[in-house]
Amino acid sequence: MTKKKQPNLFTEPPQVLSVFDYISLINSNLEVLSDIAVEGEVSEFKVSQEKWVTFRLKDEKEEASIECFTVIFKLNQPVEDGMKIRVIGRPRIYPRYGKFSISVENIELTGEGSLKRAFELTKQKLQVEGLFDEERKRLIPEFPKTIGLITSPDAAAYTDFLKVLKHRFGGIKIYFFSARVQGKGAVEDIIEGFDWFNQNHKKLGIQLVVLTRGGGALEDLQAFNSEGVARAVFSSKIPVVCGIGHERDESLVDFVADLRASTPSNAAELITRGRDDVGAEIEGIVQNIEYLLKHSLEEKQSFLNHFFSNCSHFISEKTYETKQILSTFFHRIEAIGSVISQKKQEIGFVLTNVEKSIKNHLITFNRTVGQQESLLKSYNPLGVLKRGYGIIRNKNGKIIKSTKDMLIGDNIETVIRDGNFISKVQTIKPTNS
Amino acid sequence: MPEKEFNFKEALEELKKINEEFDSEEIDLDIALEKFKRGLELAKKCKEKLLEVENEVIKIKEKFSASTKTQEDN
Repeated sequence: MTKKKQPNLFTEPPQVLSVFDYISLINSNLEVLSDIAVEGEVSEFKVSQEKWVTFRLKDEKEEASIECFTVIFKLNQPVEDGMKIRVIGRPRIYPRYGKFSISVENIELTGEGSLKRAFELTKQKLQVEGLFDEERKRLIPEFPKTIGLITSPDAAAYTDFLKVLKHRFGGIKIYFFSARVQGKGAVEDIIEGFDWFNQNHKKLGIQLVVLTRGGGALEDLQAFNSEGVARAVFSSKIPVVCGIGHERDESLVDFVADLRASTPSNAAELITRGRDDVGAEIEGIVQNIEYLLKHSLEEKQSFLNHFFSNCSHFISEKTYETKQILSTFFHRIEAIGSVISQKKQEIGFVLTNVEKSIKNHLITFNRTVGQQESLLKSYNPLGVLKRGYGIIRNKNGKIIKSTKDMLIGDNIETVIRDGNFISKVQTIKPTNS
Repeated sequence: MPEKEFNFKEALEELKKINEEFDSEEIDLDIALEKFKRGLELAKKCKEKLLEVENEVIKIKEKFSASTKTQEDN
C-alpha cells in the first residue's frame, strides 16, 4: 500500500477521495487532538497475546464510550474494569474496519478508588514475585561517607533531608540526582537516577541511595507506587533507603527498599547516627577502658602487695625455722662437746694412770736392774780374788775346777788378788763327796 | 608513605574492639597500655570528626528548571 500525498482539507478541499485517503485525511486532521486527556471509566479491559491492550472508556453519567488501544509496556500501572483513568493518545480511525479508537500513549489513574486498587494489584504482584522479601534486604552502612540522593531540588524533602543529615553528622559527600517526583516523567527520572548510581557507584564509592519525597495526595505519590520504580529499587546494586511522604503514608517502594524511613527527615536519621549519641558512646568507651586499665593496675598492685606480704611471711617463718634448727644444732654440738670433754677427762685420767703405772714399772724395773747389777757385780771373779780366793789354770790356761783336771807333776798357774805363781802338783787328794 | 585517610567507621570499630578486649580478656599490661594509648588516639580523632558540621552536595545534573516545582505539603 503506497501512501499518497494528502491534500490539505482547508486549502485544497477534495471532491472525491478513496476510503483509505478519506480516513487518512481525517486521521491527519485529528492529530491536533493528541494532547487532550480524556477521562472516563474503564470497561471491557482485555490483553491479547500478552501484548495488545484494548478497553472501552466511558462516561459514568452520559451514554458515551470510546474504544482505546495500546501496548502493554505503556501501562505503568495495573488497569482493570471500573477504574477511573485519564488517557492521552492519538484519536484515529483504523482504516481496515473504519473503527474509531484512541491509540493510547499514556494512562494515569484518577480518583482514590482507582489508585488504591492499582496499588493493591501491584503490591500483590510484586509480593508474589518476592520483591518485598525480608531475606534480600541489605544492611545499611553505619557511617556512610558517600551517598546518592534522588529527589526534586525544589521539594521540601530535599532541604529537610539535608538539614537533618547535617544536624546528625558531618563530612558526608552527597551525590544528588535531580528528579521529578510527581506527574509526567517522574517515573522515568527516578529510574534514570537509579541507573546512573548503579553505573557510577564503584567509581564514586557510593554506599547507599536515598530516594525521598515529602507527603502528598495518593495521586502525587503515584511514581513511588509504580512497578517501574519498585523494580528499579529492587534491582539496585547499592542498598536503597526510601523516605516517602508522611509517617502514615505507605508506598510500594517502601516495601522494596532495604530500609524504610517514614519521612525524608527520618531517612536522614536512619542512615547515620547523631553526633551527640556517637560522642556519648565514644566517651563511654574511653571511660570504660580507663576504668578497666586502672582496675587492672590496681589488681596487679594488690597482687604484688600480697606477694611481698607472702614473701615476708615466708622469710620470717623460714628464719624462725632456721633459728630453731641452728639452736637445736648448737645444743647438740654443746652436748657432743661435753661428751668430748668428759671423754677427754677420762682419757686424761687413763693417761695419768698409765703414766703412773709406767713410772712404777720403771722404778721397779730400775730397782730390779740395780739388784741384778749388784748381784752381777758380786759374781765378778776379781771381787772373789779380793776376798782371798785364787783361780787355778793348767798350762793351757783352762781353769781347773776338779782334781780330775790335773795330773801329778803338772805345772799349774795360780792367780790371786795381786799376781800369779806357778807351782807343781805333787799330790792329788780328791775329796769324797 | 602518605597517611591513610581517616575512616570514622573503621576507627570507631577499632575503638569498640579495644573496649571488648579490655572487657573480655586478661591483657598483658604492656599491650594494655599500648591499646589504651591507641584507644585515646582513636577517640580523639573520632571526636574531631564529630565536630565537622558541613556535608558536601555534588549535583549530578541540573536537568529541570526550577519552575517544575512539586506540590508538597510537608
